Amino acid sequence: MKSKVLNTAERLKKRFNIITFIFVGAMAILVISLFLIELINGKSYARETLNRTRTVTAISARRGDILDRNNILLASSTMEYDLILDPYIILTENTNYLEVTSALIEKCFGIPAEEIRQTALESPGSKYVPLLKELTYNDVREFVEFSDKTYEERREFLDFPEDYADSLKAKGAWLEEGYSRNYTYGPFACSVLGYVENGIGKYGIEKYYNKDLTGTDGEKYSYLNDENQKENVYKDAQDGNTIQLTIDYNIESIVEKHMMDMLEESGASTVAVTIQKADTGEFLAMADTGIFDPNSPRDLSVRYTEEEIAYISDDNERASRTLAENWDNYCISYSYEPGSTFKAFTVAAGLEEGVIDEDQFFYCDGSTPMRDYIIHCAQIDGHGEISLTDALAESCNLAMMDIAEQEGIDIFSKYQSQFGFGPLTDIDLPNELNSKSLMRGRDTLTDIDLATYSFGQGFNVTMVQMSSAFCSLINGGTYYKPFVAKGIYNASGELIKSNGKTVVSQPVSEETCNFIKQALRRVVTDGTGTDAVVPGYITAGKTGTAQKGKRNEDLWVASFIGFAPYENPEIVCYVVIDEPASGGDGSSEYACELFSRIMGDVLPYLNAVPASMDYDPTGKGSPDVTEEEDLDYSGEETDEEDDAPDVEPEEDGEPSDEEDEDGGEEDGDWYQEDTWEEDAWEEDAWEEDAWAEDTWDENTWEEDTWDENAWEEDYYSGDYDYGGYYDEPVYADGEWY
Amino acid sequence: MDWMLLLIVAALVIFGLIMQYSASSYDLDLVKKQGIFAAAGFAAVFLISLIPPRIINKLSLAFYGASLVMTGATAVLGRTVKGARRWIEIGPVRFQPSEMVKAGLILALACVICKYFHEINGLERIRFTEFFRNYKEIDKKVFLRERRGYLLPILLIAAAAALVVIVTKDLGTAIIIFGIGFLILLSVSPGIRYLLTVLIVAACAGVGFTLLFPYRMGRISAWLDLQHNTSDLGYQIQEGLYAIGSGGWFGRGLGKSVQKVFIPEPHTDMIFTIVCEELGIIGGIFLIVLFVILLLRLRRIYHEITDLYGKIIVAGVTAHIGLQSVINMAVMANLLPNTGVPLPFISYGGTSLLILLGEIGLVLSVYRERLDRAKNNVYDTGYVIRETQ
Repeated sequence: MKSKVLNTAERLKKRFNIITFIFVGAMAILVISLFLIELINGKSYARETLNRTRTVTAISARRGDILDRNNILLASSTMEYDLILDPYIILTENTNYLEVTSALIEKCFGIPAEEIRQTALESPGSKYVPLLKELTYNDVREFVEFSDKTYEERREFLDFPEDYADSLKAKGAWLEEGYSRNYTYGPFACSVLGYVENGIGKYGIEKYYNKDLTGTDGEKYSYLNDENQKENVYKDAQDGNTIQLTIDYNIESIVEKHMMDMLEESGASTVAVTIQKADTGEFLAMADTGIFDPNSPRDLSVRYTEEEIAYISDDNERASRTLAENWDNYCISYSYEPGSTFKAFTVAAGLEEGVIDEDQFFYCDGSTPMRDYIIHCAQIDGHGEISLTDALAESCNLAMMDIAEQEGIDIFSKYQSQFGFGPLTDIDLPNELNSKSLMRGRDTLTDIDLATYSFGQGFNVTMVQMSSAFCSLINGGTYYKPFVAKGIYNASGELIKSNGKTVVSQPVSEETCNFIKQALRRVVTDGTGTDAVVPGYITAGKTGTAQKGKRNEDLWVASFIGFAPYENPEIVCYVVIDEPASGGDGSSEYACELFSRIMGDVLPYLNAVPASMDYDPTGKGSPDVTEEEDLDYSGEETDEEDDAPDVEPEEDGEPSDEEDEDGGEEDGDWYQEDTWEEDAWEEDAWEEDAWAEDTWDENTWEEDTWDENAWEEDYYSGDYDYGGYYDEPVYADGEWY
Repeated sequence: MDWMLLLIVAALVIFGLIMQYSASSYDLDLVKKQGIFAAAGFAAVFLISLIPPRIINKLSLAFYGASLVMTGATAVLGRTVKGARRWIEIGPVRFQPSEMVKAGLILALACVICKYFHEINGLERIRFTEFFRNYKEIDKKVFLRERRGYLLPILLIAAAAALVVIVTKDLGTAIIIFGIGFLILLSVSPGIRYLLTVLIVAACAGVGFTLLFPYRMGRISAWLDLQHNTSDLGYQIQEGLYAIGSGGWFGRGLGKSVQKVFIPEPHTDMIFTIVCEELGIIGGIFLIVLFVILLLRLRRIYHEITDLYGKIIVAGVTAHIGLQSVINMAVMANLLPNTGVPLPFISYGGTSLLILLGEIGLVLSVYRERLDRAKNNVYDTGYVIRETQ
């Protein structure tokens, strides 16, 4: 019995130890599993819970506006809304949210309630399901105002029965705010402006100044505080800066209108125009016919007809190429051989270095042998004895070759670089074409290159390069860096950066400038550019008709670069007509005509004072005018001009009043310098004289056409080998460069 | 009076109150209510510890019977909360009779086993199979009477568990009730075959119940495939796991839980996850260690007690606390399917706390008398186990 009792005591002890051992063992397993949970999933769980309790919502910064020089709004950003559904809240927090919220969305946005219900049920755990995008404030107004309504108003708004028990709060759907970009005038100045995609500027000002325009996004930081209340901390968005362009809305409009007309008339592939202020380097207008609507940059309908669109969209590669061509700014991203417009630079270099003389005469017999080739002048039987002025006016190739030969490779290349041909101009626009490789420098230039370079064939330039260099040629010899953004303002309207003129170099003297100006005046009065006459104004310029690409393709670039007013040049207008349908034949007339039309509208807008045609009758409209007379004429006019500034400050009051009316914020001295001719305008009978000038033009017509036809004719006659412009091996490859 | 035991229990209860305050998002009313129960519970500890075990023994079957009656009454009078009738309301006090059943069962088993222990202890093997084999020859009355020491405990356990399941449909409580009973039998029964038989019968009953009430299956399938189960059941456990894992080693700091927003009623069954989130894995382990210390303290008491009645009481209380804490925490760590068992002393729940503290009172009562009984060797409660000589 005793042993049995002892056995029992032992057993009870043992059994209880087993029980406690099981429990302690289970507790140990629990500890291990806690360790495992922490080690394996700790971080991801922590992240998961963090995501739920702390939300960071971006507050988008407003992209800055783009203004024209007179503060006309060209591009702006407006608030838009996305409707976001939160199925998690709808399905978990309160069963009535599903009914009320979907009813509200149906009422405000017309999405059937059943559809919203389905959407919510499809992803019950999600907190972010976008329903509608890009809504305007008008679209969302009812939705926003709903929460401010009283219970009765809400019930009536939703058409719910009167005994509906819920408080009718609509949770689980909210609006996400963002900005959309609007271009006030659609395709207006699209090449300069560029466009915005996904908040990033593409092309144009939008790209170049993207950083300034974008601003800094803010944040809304929500978290649960120690009392488990939701708290929000806001970091305000810093809105983007506003860019003010040097582009003038009115001038740009004029340019675009005439440009598009000319595109149709000439049948060209592209027409491009720039208008630049001669004494600052800023662009007043810059346009090409490759237009698009920045509001919907992939929409081709602005530029092309339906059949054309069908053809373009047919091939993906073709479509993207076409789009890229339109988005690109022809004026800075394309290069071409400048042709005769370059002759002015050859002459200027020669004069500046003293290798030629203003009174020097050249002899042109129509052609000259060069190594194995014969290079012809535009006028196939030669100009004979020809003065320097006439060589420019008549666009004589042989005279230019002569000048370039006298200059030699060193001087010629020195001036090439001083005029900014080759390197980038560093204009404040993206995608500027680097044409340096398309041009031979001092070390690689050969004598044949020198010969063709002298009249603008064989190397490539961009419009910006040409226009900026030309400004220095007629403004007294200072090369200014070209630019299109005048100033940058912050969101509160304070000016934070201002762009002004920047002197880059001083390639020529004022004396040389004056000679070039009067020679270019002769181009318009009785040279190759008589179509560029602007009735009522004294303009001057240079024509150019250059061959493009392979010589046998018969593709041409016609151009005219001119300036006005003649005496004190304010603006330089450069017109390029790429691949006109007429080929080289008469295509420079198109360029001159376009220049004339544009300047005819722009000059009155700028309050430029019309010239008196009978101011010096001998200097105008007469085919008999001689070189001396012409020089006299320009000399007299110069005198007159010199008088003007003396008088002007005393009469300060009146003209400036007038200007404030017309020119808005425009700086005064822009037009004031020209007020000297104001009375001349009244008494003048310019119209008759202009007609006389036009009539006279007809005499030179034949002469003129030679310029255009020479290349082509020579090519067909086999007389002239175009390959002679270039080194043999390069040509043999079938490539120009 | 074992002050060490009281100290550990007091630490757990206070810790529980603090965690409930935090987990309920600073619901002071709730904590006050629980605090009143805790105060009443500690008063009960001292009161009960003063009652001699022989008086307790006399009342135990009555208490057991009363708890069964009250549980049955919930079917009629019970207040339905969240689809289950588990509470009886008497004035402002809401009472959960199924918790009473746990204590009642411990008392009733102690009473019955002590009374017949000399019978079962004398039999090395019990052959129930004989009952069927020699069905005609044996005197059934005598046969059953000889084995009532085995049969009555089973009846007590089965009646309690079945009633709880049928009335409250609360399998978790029923499992705990069965577990307590089974562990008491394990601690005293000489035969292993008998225990196995009980286990197999119970397992069959459990499976049958699960099949009878299919929503139980949902809990099990939710447990087996938590990641892909988006139902409410899986969701709760997943949120709990997020809480355990996201706290890191040292936790977010007391009161800084963020998961309490996502866990339904975080101050009740799932409070352990909030402990882990706010105090870290280290905090969770600290709590586990507290429970281990409590269990080891109960073991020490068990060994100090020399009489069977006291030993069975302590074994029952140990089983109650140990089972509930292990099952609760194992569910939170996703080692077991969701059963809805509160964490002893820590989870919010007045009845549960009161009963647990009452059981501590019982333990202290039998502990207080241990020396007297060793001296007297006389037990009107039943059987004496002498110290090993």
